[in-house]
Amino acid sequence: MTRVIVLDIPGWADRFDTEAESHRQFDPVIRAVENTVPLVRVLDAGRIAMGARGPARYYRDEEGAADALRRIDPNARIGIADGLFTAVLAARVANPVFIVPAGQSPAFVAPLSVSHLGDPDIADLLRRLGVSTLGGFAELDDVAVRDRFGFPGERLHRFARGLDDSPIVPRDIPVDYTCESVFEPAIVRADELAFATRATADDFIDRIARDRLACTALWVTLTTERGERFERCWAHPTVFGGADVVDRIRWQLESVARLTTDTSTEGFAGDGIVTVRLAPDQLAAQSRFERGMWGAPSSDRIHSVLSRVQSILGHEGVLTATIGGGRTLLEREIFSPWGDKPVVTHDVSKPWPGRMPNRVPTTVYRDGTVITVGATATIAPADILTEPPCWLELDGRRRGVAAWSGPWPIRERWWDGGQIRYRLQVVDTTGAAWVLLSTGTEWALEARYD
Amino acid sequence: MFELSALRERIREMEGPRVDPRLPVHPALSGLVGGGLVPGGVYSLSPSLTLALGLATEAVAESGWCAAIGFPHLGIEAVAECGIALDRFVSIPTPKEHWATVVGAVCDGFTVVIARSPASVPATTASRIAAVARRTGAVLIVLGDWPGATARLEVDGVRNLGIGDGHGLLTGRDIRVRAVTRGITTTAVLPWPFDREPEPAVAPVRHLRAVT
Repeated sequence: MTRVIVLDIPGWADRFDTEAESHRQFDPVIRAVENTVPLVRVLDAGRIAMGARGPARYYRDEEGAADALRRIDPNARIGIADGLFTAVLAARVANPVFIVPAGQSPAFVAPLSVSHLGDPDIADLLRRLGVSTLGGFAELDDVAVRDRFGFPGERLHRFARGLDDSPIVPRDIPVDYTCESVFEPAIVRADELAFATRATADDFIDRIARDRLACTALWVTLTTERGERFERCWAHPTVFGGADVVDRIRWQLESVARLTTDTSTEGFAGDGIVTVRLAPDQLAAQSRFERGMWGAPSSDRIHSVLSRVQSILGHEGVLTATIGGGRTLLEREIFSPWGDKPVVTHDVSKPWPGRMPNRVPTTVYRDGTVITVGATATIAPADILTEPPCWLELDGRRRGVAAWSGPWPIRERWWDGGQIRYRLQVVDTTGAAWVLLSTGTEWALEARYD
Repeated sequence: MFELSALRERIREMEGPRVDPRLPVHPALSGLVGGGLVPGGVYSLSPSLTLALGLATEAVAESGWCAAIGFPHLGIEAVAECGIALDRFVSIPTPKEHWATVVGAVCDGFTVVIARSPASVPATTASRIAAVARRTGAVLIVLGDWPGATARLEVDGVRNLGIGDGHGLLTGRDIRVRAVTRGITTTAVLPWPFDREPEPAVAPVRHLRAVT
C-alpha cells in the first residue's frame, strides 16, 4: 500500500477575500514544498499531497519528513497514512503531526463520522440507515453497498475499510487519455476558461470511465500566448468528476494569474491562455458498476440541467443568489454564476444603519431609472421634503400619489464626507407601491412592491 | 415515432394528472387552485411577483428547487423573506430568444418554475412546454397569458397598510386575487407578508384634500 503524506494548512482559504487570491498566495507554498519533495500533488488551496517513501528515506524516517515539511508554514499540519484518503483525514486531526502506522487505517478511520466521506448524499443516506461512523459503514456487506450506492459508494466503502485503491503508476496507463483544448482568441478570465473547458473536462473523465477506470490525479498544463507553460499535478481525495477538473483548471489559472490594472478582470496582463492540456497522472480501477445505475441524486440533475442552460446562455446566464451586507437593497444582493463560489465582501450580520429592516420589495431596479417626483419636492437640510410629493412621472406617464412616507436618510461614512442618500416610500393612486432613492435633488427608482 | 409519442401524450392526458399529491400552497390561495398546486400544472398570473411567490413558497418549503426565469430586477431579499431557501433557488434573468428552450429545460428537474412570458406565447410552444411539465411534474407559474393554463389568477386590487400621508411605513399589503377556472370566478385575499392575517374588509377610505 502506498504511503502518502498530506500537508494541510487549516483555514487557508479564510485568510483571503477571494478564492483567486487564496490560490495565488498558495503558489509560493507549493514551490517551497517542491524544494523539499520533488513530486507533489495539489488537492486544493491549503492542501498538498505527496508520496511518503522518497521523503522518508531522505529524512531518515516519516517523522523526519514531517518535521521538514512543518518548517514551511507554522500552521501546517501533517498527516501520513496508507493511501490519500486516510492521509487527508490524518492531517485533519493532526496537531501538528499525525502518523497512522502501516496497516492501521481501518482502526483509525472507524470512529470518524461518515461526513468525512466528502459525499453529502451518501453520508445523508447512511445516517438515515442508522450508520453514522466510517467503522459502521465498513461493516456493511460490500455487495449490498455496491448495489445500493453504485461505484462511488463502493469506492468510499473501500476507503472506510482501509483498502485504498493502489493506483496504477503512470507508465501502466494503457491508452493515451490526454486531451487538449486550443483557444483562438486567447482566454484571460478564469471564469471564461472554466466555461470553455467544461465540455473537454467531461469528455476527458467520460473516456477514462468508459475503460472502467477512475482518475484520482491529473496534470493540468496551461500555455500562454507567449509560449509560457504552467504545469501542475492535482489530486483528488476520492475521484475526479468533470466539474472537479474544471475547478482545478480555474484554480490553476488563478494561482498563476497576475493582477491586471483593471481589478474587475483578473488574469494575465495582456497574456491569455491558448491551450489547456489534461493528462491523467493516476488511474484507479473502477468496478463494472458505474455511476447512474443507482439513480443520480437530484442535485446532480439540477446541475446537469443548469449546465445545459449555461451552454445556451453563457456562464453568467444562470445565477445563484445570497444576501450580503449593505444599505440599499441592490448593495445587499450578491449574484454569482451557477458553479462559482459567491464573493461576499460585506458582512450581512453587521447592523448596516439605513437598510430596510424587513418587508422588502419584490422588484429591485438595477439600472437607476430616473423618476420625477412632484414639482418641487426637494430635500431640506433637516431631512424633510420641502413639499409633499403629489405625483410621480415614470416613462412619460404621470401617476397621482395616494400615500407616502419618508424621507429616511442613509448615511455612509459620514465621518469622512461620504454621501447621504434618502429613501422615500410612495403609493400611487393605482395602488402600486414604490421605493425611491435620492442624493438630494433627483430621484431614482430603488424598488417596487409588485 | 412521432405518432407513438403523441399517442402516449394523449393517454397521459386522458389519465389526468399524476397520482402525486397536490403540492401545498398558501392557505389564502388554496381555495382558488383546488386545494393545492397540480404537479405538471401551468398557472397563468397577472404580473405580480408577490402573487407568484405566494403561490410557490409552500411547495418548495421543505425540499425541491425553485427557478425564476426572465426577472432581471428580482429582489432576492424578498424571495428569501417569503421563505424560499436561496440554496435551492436560481435566477435566469435574461433568457432572451431562448426563452422557450430554457423554460422547457428547467422544468426537467425543478419543482417550481416562475417565468415571465414574452409578449405572446404561440399555442404550439405553450403545449410543448406544458407537455414537459406534465412529464416531469414541475409546476410552471407564468406571469403573463398562457393558452390552456390550469388556472388563471389575477390581482384585482391592493390595500397598502401602515403608510399614510407623509407618515408611517408600509407594513403589509392585502392583495385581492381573482381566479378564473373553467369560467367560474372565485376571489380571495392574499396577505403580504404571508404570515399575516388579512385586515378585515372595510369600505374604501377616500382621501380628503384641502382645496384652495
